[in-house]
Amino acid sequence: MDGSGLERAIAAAQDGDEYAFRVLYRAVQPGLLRYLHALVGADAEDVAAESWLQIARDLGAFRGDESGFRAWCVTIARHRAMDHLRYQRRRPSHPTPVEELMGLAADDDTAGCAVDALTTAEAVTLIATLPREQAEAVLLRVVVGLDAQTAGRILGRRAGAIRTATYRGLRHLAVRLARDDPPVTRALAPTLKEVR
Amino acid sequence: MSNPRRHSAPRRTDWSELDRAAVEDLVLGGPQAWRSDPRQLAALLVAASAPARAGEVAGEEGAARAFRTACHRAATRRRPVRRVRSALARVLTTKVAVLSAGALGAVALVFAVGAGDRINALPFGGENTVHSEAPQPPAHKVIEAPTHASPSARPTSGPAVPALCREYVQRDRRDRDRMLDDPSFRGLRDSAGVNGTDRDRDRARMDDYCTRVLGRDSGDRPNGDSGDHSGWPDDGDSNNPDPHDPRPHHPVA
Repeated sequence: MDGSGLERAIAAAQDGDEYAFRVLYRAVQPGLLRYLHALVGADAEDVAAESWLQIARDLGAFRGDESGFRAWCVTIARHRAMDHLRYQRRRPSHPTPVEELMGLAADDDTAGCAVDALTTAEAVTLIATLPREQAEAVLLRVVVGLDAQTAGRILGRRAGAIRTATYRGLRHLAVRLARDDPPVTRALAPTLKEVR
Repeated sequence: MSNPRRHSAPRRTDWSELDRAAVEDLVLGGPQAWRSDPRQLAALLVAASAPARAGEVAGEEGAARAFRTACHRAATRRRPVRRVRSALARVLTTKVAVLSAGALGAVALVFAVGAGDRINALPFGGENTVHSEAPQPPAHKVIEAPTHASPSARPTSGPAVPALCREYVQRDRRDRDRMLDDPSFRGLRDSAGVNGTDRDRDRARMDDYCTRVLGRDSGDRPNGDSGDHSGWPDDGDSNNPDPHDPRPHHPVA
């Protein structure tokens, strides 16, 4: 959906239109979930669900355009993820099974779809192996679709710092891909689960 | 969507070409440009930003449920607020009306028992000058000159009006007639609208005026039933001896 279409959906949802809200959910949720996977691993869906509770509750107070709405949603999700990580840090840690993450989008029946979905999960997982700042910068810009300035506002950094982190992260990934590490997409490293 | 490892065409791995500007260009290119980019990194970006899969939006029903709940709560929050606000407005309006009328009645009483000199110092308005100011505490209320009883109305001076009225009503008819000519009652006569052209009519005006003043002074009239907030005296009610008095009655509190 283009920007103006999503902005119309925002306005309609703020007026109580459930269909419009579903449009917003479908537009934002995939990128949000992938971003959250990099932050909290297999708990991403739970954190996303909590995030949408808050998004639904506070939607009426939102003011802004499509990019602002995506950023607003991501900010809410990031806060929920940080809360989740703080809570998790007080509990015994359990390594995230790779299969759990790979089952992210395994609902489709066809083998082809499953392979494609797996590939998406692999890509997100690979990005998540980057240092936290680089991973978040890449995901916000590439997956969520925010510009450097907006991503910087979410992460509390300047746009230049976000571009630098994006550059370093993608270059690092390019090097790894060039080496063609066989287990690269299997190397789930819940690095971001260790932060904060 | 492309799979970096399953792509039919060989992907370039020349990551050494990826300087800062090239990476920024790559990111800004978006999915469409990534799909046609032969580099492995572009394939990775394509995969990471692929359209939603069914599993990724499996929580849609839960989110929609949360949305419905939020809408319901918002609606139920708004309604009582509106009701309470409306009821509050009604109560406050009534209270303000009663309090302001009462306050002005008290001011009128204060004036009646001794503030006449102060009134004398005030400039007078025209015939129909009515000052409906916002309710103020009586102690701070500046009473505007009452000029509405009749074109000849003037404030009283000397003894307090109720005292004069009491003296007037205690007398018989002959004495009352004398009082109508007595200079010491001039202020009272002026306030009552007596103009000396018709003895019977003057007497009736004086009787009526003093009856009303003494009735109010003795508490016969409940506070707040006066519709005139312009100060003392108040004859803007049904007892108004002059039915043609054009003053607006019951100014909004």
